[in-house]
Amino acid sequence: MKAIVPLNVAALRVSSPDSTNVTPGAGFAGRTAAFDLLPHGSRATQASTGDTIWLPLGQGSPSVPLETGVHLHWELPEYFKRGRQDPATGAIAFPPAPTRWLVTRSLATWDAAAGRYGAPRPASWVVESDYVSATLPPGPDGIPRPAVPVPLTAPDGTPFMYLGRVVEAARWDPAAQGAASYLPHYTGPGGTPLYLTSIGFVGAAFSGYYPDCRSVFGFWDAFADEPGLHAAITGNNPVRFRASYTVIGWLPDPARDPLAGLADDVASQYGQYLSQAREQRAKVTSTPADVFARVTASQYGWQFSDRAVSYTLGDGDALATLDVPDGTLCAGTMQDVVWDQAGPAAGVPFLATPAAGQPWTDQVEIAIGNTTVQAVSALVKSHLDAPGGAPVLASYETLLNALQLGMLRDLEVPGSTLATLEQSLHERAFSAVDGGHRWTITATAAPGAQASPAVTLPLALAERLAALNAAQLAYDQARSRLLAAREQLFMDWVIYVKQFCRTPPGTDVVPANTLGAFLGSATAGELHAVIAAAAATGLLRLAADAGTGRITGVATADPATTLAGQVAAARQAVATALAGLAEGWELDAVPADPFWQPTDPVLVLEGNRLDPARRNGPGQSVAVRVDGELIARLRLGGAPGEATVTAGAPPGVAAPPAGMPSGPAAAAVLAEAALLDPGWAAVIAAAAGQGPLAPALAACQGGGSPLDGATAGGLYAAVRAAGYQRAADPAASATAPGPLTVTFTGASGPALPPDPVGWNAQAALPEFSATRADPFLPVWMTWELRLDPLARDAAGGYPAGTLADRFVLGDDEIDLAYAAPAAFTTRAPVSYQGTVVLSKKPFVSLTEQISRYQQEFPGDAAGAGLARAQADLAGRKVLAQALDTFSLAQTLRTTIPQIPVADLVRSPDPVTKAIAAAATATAGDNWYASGFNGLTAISAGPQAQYNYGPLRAGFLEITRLTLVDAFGQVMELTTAADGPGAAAGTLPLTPAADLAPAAGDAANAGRAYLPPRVLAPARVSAQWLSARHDPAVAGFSADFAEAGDHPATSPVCGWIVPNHLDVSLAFYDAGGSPVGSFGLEHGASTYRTRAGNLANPGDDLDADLGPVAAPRVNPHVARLMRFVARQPAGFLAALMAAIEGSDQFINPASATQDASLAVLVGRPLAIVRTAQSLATAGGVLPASQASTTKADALSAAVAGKWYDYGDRSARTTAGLGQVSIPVRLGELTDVDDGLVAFLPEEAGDAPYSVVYAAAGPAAGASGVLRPGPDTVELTLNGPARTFTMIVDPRAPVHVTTGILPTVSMQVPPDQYLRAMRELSVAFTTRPVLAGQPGLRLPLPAQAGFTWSWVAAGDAPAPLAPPPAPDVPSYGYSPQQLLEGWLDLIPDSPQPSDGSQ
Amino acid sequence: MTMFSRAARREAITSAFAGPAAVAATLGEVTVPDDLAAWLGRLLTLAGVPFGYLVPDEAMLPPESIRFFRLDEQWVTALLDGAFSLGRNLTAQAGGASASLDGALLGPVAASARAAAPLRPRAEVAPPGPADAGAPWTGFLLRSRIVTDYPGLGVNVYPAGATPADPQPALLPVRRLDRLGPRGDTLLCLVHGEAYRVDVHQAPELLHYGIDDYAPPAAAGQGPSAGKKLRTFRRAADGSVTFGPGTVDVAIGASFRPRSPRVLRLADLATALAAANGGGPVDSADMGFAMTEGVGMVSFVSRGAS
Repeated sequence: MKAIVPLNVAALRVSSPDSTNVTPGAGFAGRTAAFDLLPHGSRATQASTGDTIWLPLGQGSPSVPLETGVHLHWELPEYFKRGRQDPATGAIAFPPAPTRWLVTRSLATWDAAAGRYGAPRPASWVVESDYVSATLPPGPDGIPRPAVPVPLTAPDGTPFMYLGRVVEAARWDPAAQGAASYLPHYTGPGGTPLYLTSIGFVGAAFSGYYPDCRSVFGFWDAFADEPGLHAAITGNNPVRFRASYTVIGWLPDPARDPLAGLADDVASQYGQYLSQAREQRAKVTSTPADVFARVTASQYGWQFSDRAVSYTLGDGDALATLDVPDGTLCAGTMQDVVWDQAGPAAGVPFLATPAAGQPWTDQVEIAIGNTTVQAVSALVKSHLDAPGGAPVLASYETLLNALQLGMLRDLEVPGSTLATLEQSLHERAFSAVDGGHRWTITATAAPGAQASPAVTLPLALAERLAALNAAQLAYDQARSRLLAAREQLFMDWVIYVKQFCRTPPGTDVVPANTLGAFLGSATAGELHAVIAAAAATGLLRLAADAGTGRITGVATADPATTLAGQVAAARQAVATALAGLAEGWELDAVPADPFWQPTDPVLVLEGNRLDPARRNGPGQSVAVRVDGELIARLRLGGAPGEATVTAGAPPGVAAPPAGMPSGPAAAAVLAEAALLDPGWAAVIAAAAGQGPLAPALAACQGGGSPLDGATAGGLYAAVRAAGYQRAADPAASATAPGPLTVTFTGASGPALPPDPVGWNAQAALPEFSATRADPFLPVWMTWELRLDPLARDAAGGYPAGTLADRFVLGDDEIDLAYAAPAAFTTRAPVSYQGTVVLSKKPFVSLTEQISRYQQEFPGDAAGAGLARAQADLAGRKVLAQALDTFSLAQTLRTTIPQIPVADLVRSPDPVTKAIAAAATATAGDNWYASGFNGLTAISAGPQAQYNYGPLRAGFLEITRLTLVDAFGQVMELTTAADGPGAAAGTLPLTPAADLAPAAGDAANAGRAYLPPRVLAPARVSAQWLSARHDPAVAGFSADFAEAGDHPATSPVCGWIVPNHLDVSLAFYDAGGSPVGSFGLEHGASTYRTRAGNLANPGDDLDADLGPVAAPRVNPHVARLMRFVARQPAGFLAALMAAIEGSDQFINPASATQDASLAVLVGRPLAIVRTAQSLATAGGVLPASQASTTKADALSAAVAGKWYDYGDRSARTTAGLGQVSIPVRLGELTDVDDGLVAFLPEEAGDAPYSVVYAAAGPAAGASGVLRPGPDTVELTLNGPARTFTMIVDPRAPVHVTTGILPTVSMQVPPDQYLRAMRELSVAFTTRPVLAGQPGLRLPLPAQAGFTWSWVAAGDAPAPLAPPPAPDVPSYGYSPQQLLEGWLDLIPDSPQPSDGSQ
Repeated sequence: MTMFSRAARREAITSAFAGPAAVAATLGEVTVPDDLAAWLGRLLTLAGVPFGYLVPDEAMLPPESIRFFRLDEQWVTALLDGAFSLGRNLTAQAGGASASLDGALLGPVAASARAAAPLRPRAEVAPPGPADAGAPWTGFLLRSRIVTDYPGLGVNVYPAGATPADPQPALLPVRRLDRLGPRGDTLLCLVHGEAYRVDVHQAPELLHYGIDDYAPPAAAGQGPSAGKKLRTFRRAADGSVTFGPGTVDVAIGASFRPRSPRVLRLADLATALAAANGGGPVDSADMGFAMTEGVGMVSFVSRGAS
């Protein structure tokens, strides 16, 4: 059984006038990759670097114009275009693409005399996509077809060969060519075997862009096999014919077929499910068919019908037999391509614009946002009326964003989801960059059970784990830095090798010889530094469990002195310590917090001609049939009686060539194509004996060409209708010239119609012109923009106050904002341009979310309006695209085709040889695997002159946008002249709310404001500090920072329980035992020891705390209490007011604590400590690449001999590392933020000087201040700052920087609950009456706790809650009035594990 | 550019908690959970309040005494407040969020508690309507042997102007009538409204047949001497009853069994009664009418302003 996967085939007609006047001209773009232009040999005048093989789109005429004929291009199914990341190496691998394509054409010429087309006649070719040859392979008909040059070394040393060829099907012999003629015979730079994928040697657009993949995923039909036609079309003579094409692709190696392992997959997954069900004694409810459906949907995105799988079950539901598709055929048709150059159409080009020599244009509206979601919202908003003015529109935009993110319904839930929405939107303006690994310890999960949450560890073990994480962090950072250093080395080498090859030499800022010496060798210079850094870092190999993906171990071949060796040793130490514990623990490596890199702004364009090319369908999955479900019979029912035509009946249907695997399935595909093609209607009708009904049959089939006057209808239109549900044996009816109903059915069972993705026909494009019938399928966008960038100082550096002085992280903002008029830019705009592959799903999120919303809230009052909006949006012609490489260009880098380091021009070149050797010297650490050769420096030109801008900020305006379609057709985009004010020569923008210039900034209207962003992967490192440390473990002399969001030991140093009945703050130690309280007595701040403490009758603070050097309580609690004791009464009053004021702003979303205990304990606040820092990946910043003058970065690096990238990065990043970055701790208005106050710490025993509390007195009082925008400032890779925080532990603390996503940190519930349980809380109680027998108070019984009565100066006396306090027990008089404390004391300590 | 204004939100939160009125306006209709309202309602009936707080000194309630009282509204409100804000120890400073919240909630909570305070159902007493919400709560504490000796004492409490003789006597709803402790001698009664007349009576289920005197037999074999004061009556053919002028003493000693002189021979008794009433047969209705005696009751009537 074969799976027939729909393949989208598009056809472009190129007439003789098109090929001579249109396709070589400005309105056409050619191929982008030209490995055949790679300089080689001593006569070359350029260096053999990657940029020479890259032909920028739309700049000049294409090197190879499209020739006369029909050009076919097929889009690979999505499965083949999706890369999969290897979890262990991080490398992205693409599945092998089909490499054999049977292209079948049925052609019918117009018989002018008869006034109809003649009978269709078939012809077939085979395209061999991975055929490799040193010379351009001859075409089947003597006309050479362009093949794709690829970077493989030919036998004669030429650094390129040709990929792909076309063979006449009749002469095709799969056994004729040796293995050396095909790509799998060759290996890549690292010795990895090559195979053809959707990205080829070029990149993401390779398989989707015809000029780059001709004769690989495309076919040029020159009609050379039809000499008459060929002469007519090339001679521009009147001719009329029509052709239908069917393309069938397969993988010649069955082992590489996507479905090769499907049966095993299904069997093993079903087996796993079965054994799980048995283990859990659950009923077996899933069948192998369910597993099959799940596997095919998730792994392939293919939806099969029930008939694609059959199975039998044996004993205990075990799988006995299983029959699933075992091979893949990608098949699609492009039918009824009419070529009419007869009569009035003679000589008229198909593709030309009304204005001769000009490209097509489209007037568009442009919205810009940090994300597609925001840009779409801005675009939709710009179309809305504003009944309530700008604020209402802004609210619409917010709601649209919320709708698209699926958060709209959450906004109605009480809480602070607007804050969550804002954070979520802000975070989406960043992309995550791998942050390395982090180790955690979890309790071993029983088989089938859910893994337990992280646990609190014994202190010594936690310290060993912290040491392991520190080693892992050092290793990960070193590896990141190593990649940066290798990239830098490559960029330097590119400059060197270009200079080295340049004639005449001597005109360079850094002479080639000097630069060569700087690059050095394996023993000196930059190369040596890179090699030495790799040696010092070592290489860690993670061993992952194949089933679960868990990382079960690490290994390294490097010595213990390397960072990798240290990780291995530290891991061994933890593992050893774990083994000594009784319980079952698991040590796991999980992904560490990622670094965040700002994304490039996204443009959303709407215009009339911008039909997004969603060639593989709008959804995530596509309907796939098996060969038995193909249409193989037409049952014609009508007035003249029934008749049936079977697949074999119409004469002249093409047959697959001999030697083609899956021949019967291919034959069925070809037969179905004929049965569905109106071009065959006459033949089919005749075969059925219903000749006169041929036009009716054609109408039932549908999909006829508009150039032949066909109208929409039939099965072709039905499967394309909105909401079409695939049904077996579809039927279609027509009435003229007679009534006819056609039922499309299978050979031996029901048939399913093809998915529209794989069934296409010529279509009219009236938005282009009345006669246009050739597609425009946008694939690329080229953009040109101007940035008015953030100014630096006269010396070229960023002053430390760049952000703090010119921007504000206001209380009201999540991002840095400026005040109009803008005065932070250079006012000297810099131009940038780039080319990107278009993404295809702009409005999908909005329409999908509306659908989801309607499903979930079927009765919603807004349902009808939403449905209208959805229909409206679905019909919009909208494209979205990020301005890729714009940010990269700010750091003076740009992408370059990745070709191996080699000097093919000059010899000897020891520097290049040394680098090339080093790149592949280390097994397992091939430099090419990490793509070190993917970037090149922008070292000269306007962008490099003073425009290095690693701190991206400023105002952006678009100057030019063009689209390039799958065949190379170009469209210029224009805007209406009366858009929002923008400078002449620019395209006005509608910015999303967070890219809108400040209110009142008229000078920047129509532009987008780019808030400051650091153009390096960075992360806020917000870490808990352990409450204690154990100096017995080597390397721990102070409390340590915890990696990750679940600290291994509790970070809670102590507790503060505010008691305003007493007007006091009671302090508790980490273990929950009371220390004492500070209260206001007669206007003075007074310390009182804890209730019932007889040892300290004088309420002496020092007596309770112990010596300064060795306090009896947690040292941080002691320091904080001593700090409070030193402050005047006003301080205590202000602190208490701040604590009380914060109450209304804290209402945790997930207060998961023990409710009854919470009622008793009230609102204890935890004293915790954190370390805050900002780190970039590798701890380095993107060094400037400028080399225009001797003062520029490259010259300085060479002169300073800064071989190490760290040295260079520190000195050539315009002082970015010194820029103070404002940080906001806590989020007062987010009720799910628990920060009450924080105290910056200094070194020493008296670390505190001031308390910051957002809910404190507005003006600040007595050392209790509200934090300002510049209260906390950090520098990139600068030292961590530590803070003591007073938090409500039930809610997280947010850390906001604006330049990075907001992070939150929370004491895990298991830790604070545990600590809270151990709080021995004393409740001030007064006055109470006590009778003669004793005190009888109505007390709630609390399991695990005992109530005690503490009178001043007395020890606690246990108190039993009386069963019924209101029952008189006479003899109580006289009563006494008492005051004291009720103390809730835990009965016995919790089982100790040493951590508390 | 921000999606929403933190300043405005901060202002909104602050003003929402600015005072009890602001909190109340924000909250709108407050619904107190049923179980919470029920618990607080029971507290309103002083359930769980240590007895020492109700009677600070035993001398205020000596044995064999009854004390009438009226509940102090303020005291009850303070009691509710204390219970309601248990654990919220941030309430001392005026203007604090918690204080405002408590202030805003106390009213609705107290109202819910009052509505949920238990009511001893009596068919003839309409549940208190909203108009009665402001009525005082009054009651009495009775410390006496009769509490132990006569379990199930009942109480009828009448407001001023109402008497048991009214065709539809207006009774005050009894909120609580509890003997404090399973073997206690103290009875606590709480009614909703100003009590004017309080009838304390034995448990109504003590309704019984009764005779007026009885002396055991002087010697074995003799009958006891016993008498019944019979109120004579006549029953007409239509069933209507006419009472005679007074009572007649009927000696019924002979109606007891000689061998077990505490057991009546009802046929003999009926004959004796019939004879005393002027002849004619006595059916079970006549018998019940003649023999049934009510329970003991003591009435207390207010002498004036209490």
